[in-house]
Amino acid sequence: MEEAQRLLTVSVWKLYRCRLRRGGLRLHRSLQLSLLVRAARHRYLSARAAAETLPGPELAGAAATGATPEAGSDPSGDPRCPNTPSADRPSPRTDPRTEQEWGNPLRDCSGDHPNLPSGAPRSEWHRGCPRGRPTEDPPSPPPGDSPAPPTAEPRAAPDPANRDPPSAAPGPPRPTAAPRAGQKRRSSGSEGPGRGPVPSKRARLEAEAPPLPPGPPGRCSGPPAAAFGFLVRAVGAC
Amino acid sequence: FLTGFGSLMQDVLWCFSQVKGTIDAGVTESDIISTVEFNHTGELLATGDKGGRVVIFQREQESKNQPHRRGEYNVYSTFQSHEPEFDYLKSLEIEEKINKIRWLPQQNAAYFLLSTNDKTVKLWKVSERDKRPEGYNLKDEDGRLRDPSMITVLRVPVLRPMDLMVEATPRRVFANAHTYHINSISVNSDYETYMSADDLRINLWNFEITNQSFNIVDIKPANMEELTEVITAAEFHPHHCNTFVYSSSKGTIRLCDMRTAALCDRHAKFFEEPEDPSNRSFFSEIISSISDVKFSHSGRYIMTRDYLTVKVWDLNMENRPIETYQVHDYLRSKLCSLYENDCIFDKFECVWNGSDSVIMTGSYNNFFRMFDRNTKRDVTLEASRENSKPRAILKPRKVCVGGKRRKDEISVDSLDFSKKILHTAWHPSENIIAVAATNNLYIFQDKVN
Repeated sequence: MEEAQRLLTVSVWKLYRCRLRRGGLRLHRSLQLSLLVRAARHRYLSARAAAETLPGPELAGAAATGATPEAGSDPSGDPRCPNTPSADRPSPRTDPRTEQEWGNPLRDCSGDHPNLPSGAPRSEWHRGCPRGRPTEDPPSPPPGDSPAPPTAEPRAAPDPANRDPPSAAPGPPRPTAAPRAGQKRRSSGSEGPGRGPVPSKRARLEAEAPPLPPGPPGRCSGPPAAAFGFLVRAVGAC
Repeated sequence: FLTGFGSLMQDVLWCFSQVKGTIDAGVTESDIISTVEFNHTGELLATGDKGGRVVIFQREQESKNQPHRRGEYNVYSTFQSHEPEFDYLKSLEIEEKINKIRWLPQQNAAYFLLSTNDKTVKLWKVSERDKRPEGYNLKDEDGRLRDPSMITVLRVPVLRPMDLMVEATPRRVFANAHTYHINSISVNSDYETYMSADDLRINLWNFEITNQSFNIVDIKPANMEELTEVITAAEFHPHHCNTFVYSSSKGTIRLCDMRTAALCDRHAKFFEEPEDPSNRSFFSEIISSISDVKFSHSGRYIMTRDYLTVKVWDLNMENRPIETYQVHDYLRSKLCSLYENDCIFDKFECVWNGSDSVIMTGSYNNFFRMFDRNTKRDVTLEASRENSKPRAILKPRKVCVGGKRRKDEISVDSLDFSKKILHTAWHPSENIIAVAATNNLYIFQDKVN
């Protein structure tokens, strides 16, 4: 369980730092990190459930959503298309709120303009900010693949705009609190259970935990254990 | 002639030949070599770096006075292939780093190569000019136009010798066809088309047409949250222009036949080795990702490189590789640390020798490994300035995995993971190899007996 906890912490920070890399988010790297996060989270929750009784509905729900198979253990169901999900594979996202908080590194890798860093720091940022703070216009969600503009594309060269989902629906239905592209988010009202209003940029920077110090290979380090439980919930059923 | 190919480990002694690059202690990131490629004859050796530059070395003619000394590689041409760009629509910076270089077969006096960064492929023509025309009527020798009213005599321009000048000109720019980051390019054996592969798609191009490409593979799911694997490398068959392979982050290889359908989402063959459950760990998915795939020169075999192994597959057998070589299995117990420092994400390449009897790949501490497929023997060599005396024979290196360390061995904990050999190249017909060690290019060749 401790190993899984360390890996989860390290992976979250790697996902966050991925967004800051020159050249943009790397889909392959993000995928690998996401899969490892899933596996580590699954292991952590399983180990914790085995080690202690689950006191409340929150943890029970988290354990339920954490019952995802280990990353990479399921081969593709359809050999025709490597990424066609198998019927047995559970939906990777059962908690839309966590996607809202966490962002979707895979969607952000689609080549669309990236969100502001929306990994673990934002989760903590949302948590730590009191109500009534000035609002901030959040980054627009990824509009989906912007079509590559070759001038003429017969079917043999399909137009990416037709092949890719329309920008309005890049993934599962967004929670009602999610702003549409170009719409400013207002401060009032909850955006989901347990979440407050959107705080300002300054608050986010202040609430942001320091990144892991780079160094020689060694023990995985991370934020205090008190915040780790929140990280696990924030990751959700990745 | 292929000297010493039959039994590499017995006949071939590798010697230092040359090293290119600065010896400064600090490494400028833009000088880090990101790709190395010999052309089809081995006369030219091209390197690309993170700064977007391409440096081409040409082998000098062998000296009659020193027949035992092979021709050296000297700089032939240097040019800026790609510049950093910014995609304003997506607010993304596009790195200028050269991901791959691929040579076209030479069909005339000029040389052609493809170079690519994350988004754009370019076709470059590298040609020599050793004559220049003189005696124009309408302009003087400086190129300034002359007043036509002052011209009283007509003359025929003539070509006069000049100092050799090598010029590189971009002949084609293939842009705006990849949403994701290009990881591979491969020239088809028809010499009319080539393909470029990114994380989710593969496009087929004609060299003459830059504003269109055919999408031949698309593994992007309708819902990106269901993404489970990406394309990591792709290559055309060396002889069959309809066949290509692409590898995935799940450790699988798909062979496709373009005659089957316009969109090759259905593979013709699927190569996958069952996972060993005893080796299952958090990092299994990461280390099984294939970082490079190469057809053998014969076209019968495929070689793949993942983080810890090199595997050789027979095209006629899909369920397992015919050969597996452990590159640095002593790192298996260090995966957690390697994950922390991001080394686990390093993408090593692999190469065949000219006769497909030996394969080579890189490792850490500036080590690189060769595996003789016939004798099943392997050797570890090091690219270092300490062993850079002319014609100095490279001494095999050994990593101590436990127990008492011998004097000439190095322990696993002493390995320098910042020194990694990711890119290597093997001359198409001779025992000459080029090894990229960060910002230095080492050239080794066998000792001529």
